[in-house]
Amino acid sequence: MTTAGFASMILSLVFVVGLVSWCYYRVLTAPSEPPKQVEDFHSA
Amino acid sequence: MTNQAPHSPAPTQQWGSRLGVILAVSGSAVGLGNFLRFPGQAAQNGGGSFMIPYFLALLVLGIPIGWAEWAMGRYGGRKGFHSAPAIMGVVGKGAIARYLGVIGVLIPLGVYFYYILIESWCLAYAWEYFVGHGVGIDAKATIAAQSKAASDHFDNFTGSTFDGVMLDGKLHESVVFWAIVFAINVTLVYRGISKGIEKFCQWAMPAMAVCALIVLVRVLSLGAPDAANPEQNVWNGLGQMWNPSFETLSNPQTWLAAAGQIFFSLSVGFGVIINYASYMKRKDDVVVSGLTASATNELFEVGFGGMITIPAAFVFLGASGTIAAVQTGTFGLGFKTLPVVFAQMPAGNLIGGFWFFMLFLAAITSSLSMLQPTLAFFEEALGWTRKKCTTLLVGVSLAGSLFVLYYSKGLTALGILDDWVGTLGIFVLATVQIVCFGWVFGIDRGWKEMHEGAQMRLWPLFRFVIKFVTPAFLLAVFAAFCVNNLPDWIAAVAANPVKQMSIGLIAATILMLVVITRIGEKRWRAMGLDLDGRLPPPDEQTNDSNANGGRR
Repeated sequence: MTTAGFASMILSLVFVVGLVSWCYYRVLTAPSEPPKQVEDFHSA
Repeated sequence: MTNQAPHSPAPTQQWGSRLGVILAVSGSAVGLGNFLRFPGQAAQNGGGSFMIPYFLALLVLGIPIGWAEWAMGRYGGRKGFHSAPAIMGVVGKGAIARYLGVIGVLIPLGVYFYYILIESWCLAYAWEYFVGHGVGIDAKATIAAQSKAASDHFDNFTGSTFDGVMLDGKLHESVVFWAIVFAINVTLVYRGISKGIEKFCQWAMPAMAVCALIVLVRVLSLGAPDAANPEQNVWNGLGQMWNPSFETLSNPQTWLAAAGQIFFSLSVGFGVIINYASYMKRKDDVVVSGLTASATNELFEVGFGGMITIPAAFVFLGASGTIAAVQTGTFGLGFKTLPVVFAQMPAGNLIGGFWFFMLFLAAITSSLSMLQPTLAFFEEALGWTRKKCTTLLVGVSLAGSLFVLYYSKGLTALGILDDWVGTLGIFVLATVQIVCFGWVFGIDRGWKEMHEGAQMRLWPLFRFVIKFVTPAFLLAVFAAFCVNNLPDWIAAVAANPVKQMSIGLIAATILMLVVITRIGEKRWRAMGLDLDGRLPPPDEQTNDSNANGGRR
C-alpha cells in the first residue's frame, strides 16, 4: 500500500468512526422525555 | 398500540425509543451492498480517490434527502398518515403527488419479491458453513477448479440453470430456507413496529457489528499466508482497495458511480424512511437521528465493507483474481469468490459462517423494512384489521416471490425487478420527494418542520443545498443514468419473454396499488381527513387554539 493509500484509508476511517461516535454520543446523552404526569394517583 | 387516534385512518403505533427507530432505519440501509457492492465500486473507480466524490455525494445527496424524508414522514404521521401515497399527498398537496407516492409502496414491495430469496441464500450459506462442510470446495484443488465448484454450487442452489427447477415438486434446500425466512419476516412485521421490528433490530444490529468485527480481525491477521507469493499479503490487499488514482476523478463515470453508491446504500428514495418516521412524535428529533442512521450505514460500508472483502480476496487470489472477482458483481463476489477465499483461510468455515450470518442479518433488517410500508398502506387505505392486511400482504408478496423463484434461469426475473424497481424506481421517488419537499411543501416550512424538536440546528447552507443543489445533482445523476442504461434495458426486455413477464408483474403490482390508493382516497375523504395537506396537523391546531384561549 502506498502512503497516499494509507492516508486515504485512515482519513476515511477517522471520518466515519468520528461521525458515528459523535452522533451516538448526542443520541445517548440527550435528555430523556419527562415522565407523563400521573392523573389518577392514589396514595396508600 | 391498537387504539384509534382521533385523526388517524388506521390503528396507530409508536416506536419504543429513539435508539430503536435509529437502529431500525440503519438496519434498513445496511444491506449486502455495503459489504459487496461498495468495495467493488471503490476498487474499480480509483480506490482512495473514489472517497472524494463518495463523501461529497453523502453530504449533498444522501444526508439531505434523508433529512427531508424523516421530516416528511413525521409530518405525515402527525396528520395520522403512515403510507407513502397518503404522506406524499399531504406534503405534495394533491392527487398527483399522492399517486406518485404509490412508487413508495411499489419499491419496498417489488424489491421484497426478490430480496427475500437473496436473504435465504445468506442464511443457507451461513448454515452450511457453521455445520462444517462449507459449500463443498476441495481446498487442495486448483483455484480454477475451486472457483468452478463454488460457481456450480451457487447455480444449483439458486436454480439459475433452468426455469422452474426450484418448484419441480422436490424438496430443495434453498426453497426450505426461503420458506423459513419468509415466515420469520411475516411474523416479525405482524408483531408491529415496537414489539417486532424495533426489538429485532436492537439485537440484530449489534450482532451484525460483532460478526463483522470477527471477520475483520481474521482478515487483518492473515499476513501473507502463501509463502510462495509473499507480495500477496494483507497490506497490499488494503492497497488494492485504498491506493488512490486521482486521474479517475476527471472521469464522469466515477462521480456517477459514487453518487449511485451513496444513493442506493442509504435507502433514501425507497419509501421506508418516510414510513418509519411517521411513527415518531412531533417533538422527536429528526436531524441528529437521520444523521446517526446515515453514519451507522457509513460505518458498516467504509469501516467493514472497505476493509474486509477486497483484502481477503487479494491475499488468496492475487491482484488479477481480485479484479476478475470484482467484475463478477455482487453475487459473483459474495457467493462465488468469497467461498473460495474461505476454503483457503485457516478456520475458514467458522469465518465463512460469521460472514454469511452477518449478510443474513443485514438482509433481514432490510427486508423487514420493505414489508412494513406495504402493510401500513393496506391498513390505512383499506381500513381492514392488521390480521386481514397481513394475509393480503402474504398473498401478494408470496405471488411475487414465487414468480422470481420460478423464473430462476440466469436470475432473469430477479435482475429485471432489481433494475426497474430497485434502481429506476428509487431515482424517480427520490426526485419526486425532494421536489415536493423543497418546492411544493416549501423549503421555509420544510426547514421549520425539520427543526421541530431538533437536537441541533443545521448550517443554513443546507437550506440552499436541499432546495437547489440536491434536486439538480439528483436530476443530473438520473439523466446520466437513463442515458447510460435505459436504451439497453428496453432492448433487453423486447428480446426476452421472461423479462416481458417480469415487467408485466411490475405493471400488475402498480395497478393493484393504484386501485387501493383510490379506495383509500375515497375512504379518507369520507372520514373528513385533510388528505391534500390544506390544514396544519391536528397537534398544531390544538396548540394554537390553546394559545389563543390563553391569550383571551
